[in-house]
Amino acid sequence: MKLKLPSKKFLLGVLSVVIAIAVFASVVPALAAGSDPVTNIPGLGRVNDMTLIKMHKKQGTWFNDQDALLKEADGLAKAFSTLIAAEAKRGKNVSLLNNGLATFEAEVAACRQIHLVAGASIFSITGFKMNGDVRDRLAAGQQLLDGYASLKDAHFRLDQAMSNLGKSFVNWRKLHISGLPQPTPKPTATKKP
Amino acid sequence: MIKKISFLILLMLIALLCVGCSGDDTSVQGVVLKPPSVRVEALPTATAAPQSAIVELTETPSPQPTDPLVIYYDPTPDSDAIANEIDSIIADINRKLQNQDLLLKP
Repeated sequence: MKLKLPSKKFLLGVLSVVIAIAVFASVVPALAAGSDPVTNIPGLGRVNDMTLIKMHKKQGTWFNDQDALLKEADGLAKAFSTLIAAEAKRGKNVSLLNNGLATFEAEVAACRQIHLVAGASIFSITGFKMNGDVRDRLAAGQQLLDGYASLKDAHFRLDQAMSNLGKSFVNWRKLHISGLPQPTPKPTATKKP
Repeated sequence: MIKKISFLILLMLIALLCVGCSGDDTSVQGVVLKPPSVRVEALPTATAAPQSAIVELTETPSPQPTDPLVIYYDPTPDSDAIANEIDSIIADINRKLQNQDLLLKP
């Protein structure tokens, strides 16, 4: 049995063709991207249109995720209300839970307002077309910066609200599970007749 | 010639390896154990009498003083379920908040 290997010439030919294809595939997209006029956008620098589109898509996803989180926060507030009602029915002191819930609801409402502002700037059609392409680079950049600032603001406020509510809940649980007594009102001195 | 022989040896080695790998299944098989056999005569026929007679207490135990600071929380099943639900929602929201990518550029 004799193995017939391809000739050296043939191998070199195949190798050079492969290298040529690889070089062509890497250079053509770069040339295509480079054909866009990459002007400077204040606050973002020299980003091309493809990057702007990617950033826009990313912010859209963030907006939708945050929307779902705010709905989940509403569900949490409802669960808290149910707990408060159940414990109040049993004659328990629920002032700590009530205060925590009131603060949380106010914070979530503020978050929602900021979130809506973010949505208004992200989904505006001044900088981006309906299909997601860039219409005006400067406007698109400003849209992205505004949307990002509002999304981040809403995110941190929600994070803080969650932290505060969690603290209230933990404190309430500690009081009721460890059995520490509730503060009793101090008796006031009364004049003897 | 030497190349042919070495190629044949290589083929034989591969064949040997294949044969060696395709051996019988050596996994441990479960052994069915027979139940222990007991002679009927060896079984006990009578139960032993109790060692000590039961002492009847006439005095009722005095109630122990309870610590006034310890008030045990007795959650109703509903409250407990809601509290657990709240715990899971808080954990879920916090996890999602932490996992959010806060960078502007992709």
